Amino acid sequence: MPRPHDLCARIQNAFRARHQHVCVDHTTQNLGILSILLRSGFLVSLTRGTPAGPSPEAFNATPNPAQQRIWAELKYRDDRPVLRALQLVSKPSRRIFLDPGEVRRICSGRRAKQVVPLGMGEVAVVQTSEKEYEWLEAREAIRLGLGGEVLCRAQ
Amino acid sequence: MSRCSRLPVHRALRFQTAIAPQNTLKACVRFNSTSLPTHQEETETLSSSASSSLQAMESNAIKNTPFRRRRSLFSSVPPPNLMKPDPLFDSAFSMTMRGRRSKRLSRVNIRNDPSYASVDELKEIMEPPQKEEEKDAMKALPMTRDELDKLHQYPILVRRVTQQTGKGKKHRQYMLMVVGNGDGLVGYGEGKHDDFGVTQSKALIEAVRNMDYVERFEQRTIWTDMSIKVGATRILMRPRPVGFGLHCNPNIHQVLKAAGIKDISAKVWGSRNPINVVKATCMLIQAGNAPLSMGDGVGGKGRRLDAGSGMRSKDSVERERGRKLEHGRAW
Repeated sequence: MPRPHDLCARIQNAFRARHQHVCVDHTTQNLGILSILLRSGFLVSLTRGTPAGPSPEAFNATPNPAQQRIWAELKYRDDRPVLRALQLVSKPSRRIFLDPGEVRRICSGRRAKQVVPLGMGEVAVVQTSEKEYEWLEAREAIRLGLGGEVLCRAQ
Repeated sequence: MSRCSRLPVHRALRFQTAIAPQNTLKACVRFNSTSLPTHQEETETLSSSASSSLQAMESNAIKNTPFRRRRSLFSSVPPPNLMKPDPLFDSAFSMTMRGRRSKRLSRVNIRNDPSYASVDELKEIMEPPQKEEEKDAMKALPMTRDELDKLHQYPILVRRVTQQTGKGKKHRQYMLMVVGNGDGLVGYGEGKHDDFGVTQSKALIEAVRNMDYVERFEQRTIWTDMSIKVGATRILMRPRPVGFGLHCNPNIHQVLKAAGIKDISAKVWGSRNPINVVKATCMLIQAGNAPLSMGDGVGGKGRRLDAGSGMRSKDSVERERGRKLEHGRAW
């Protein structure tokens, strides 16, 4: 799967423009990353839909994957977006793969392989080679004893 | 138009009648008296007498005088005292406005130009004296002597600054002071004056007025790694364990000590100018902007030094996300 640069850009821009919903392509990677953001508390809800709008019925009625979308409802508090930044860590120009020990280091406030440690309230998405647990949050990966490519970090 | 109307005095009289009835009384009073009164006298009579009766008298006087006699009437009127400012003729009326997207103000002079007011008396009318800012800290601040003495007061920078004016160099003393209560409140202030004592007071007053709250972890350190870039000054601050101390730039040290932060590790890259280091540190640790009031939601434009969202505590992050932040867990 390509790097989630499109997802990061869309979500950040939507938050800065104070949109209610943001619409991204329906891919397993986007689903995985957005689920992690939802569980971490950055998003209100996730809904499947079409380019027209969030609607599970319309989604089910559309067999064409190009016409399928995921709609994320964005969360704000005190007139500020909850998600300040969603940045890529592993880039096509420089891939970052961490083993479970290194993932534990960045969660504990120590640097690993040029990756800045996670600050308070920061969340990182790790893509593993396990088919059952492909996209994990950094702490979930530690619990499962897995490492992989650190895709992006959210704060 | 009659021949009389060509006389400048008569035209002036007619203009005065239309706008300020009181001013027309001068000519009227002079006409009736045998000896010509001085300017002071006639203003006194103006204030004492009723305007309506004199106005009637004046119009009657002009009407009842034969036509060829009217010129001589007005020639006996002494010329106006140009040393005394006339509130009507000498006042200036100008409007300053700014276009919606312009950075500069434009001034439109409706009547006269404010620079004409070289007379001191007129200046009082046109530009009321500005309130002089309080120079004594005790009077300016709502704090007792004891409370002021308990505050941490650290002078960061003292220097002589010069303003080149047309009349020569104007030297003043400048001071940057950081003030804090050692338990979460800190602020900085600048003062400038010829006298150093006044400079100190001014800086103290401004610093106390600018004090703002600082969130702390366990009342001793910051919550997370933070960095900021203000101009050419880049600062990175990291929280540290108990008993570590303030391992940082001396100016940052003063700010954090006044704030009540005890353990930190900080690094300054780029410019280490004390003023900018202090400003950047305060921007980094304090509450920062209020989005609802930034950028003319009343209060003018958003100011650069008010930017940033400062330090957030764990509670506020938890409230934002609706999740508990537990160690080893992301949700």
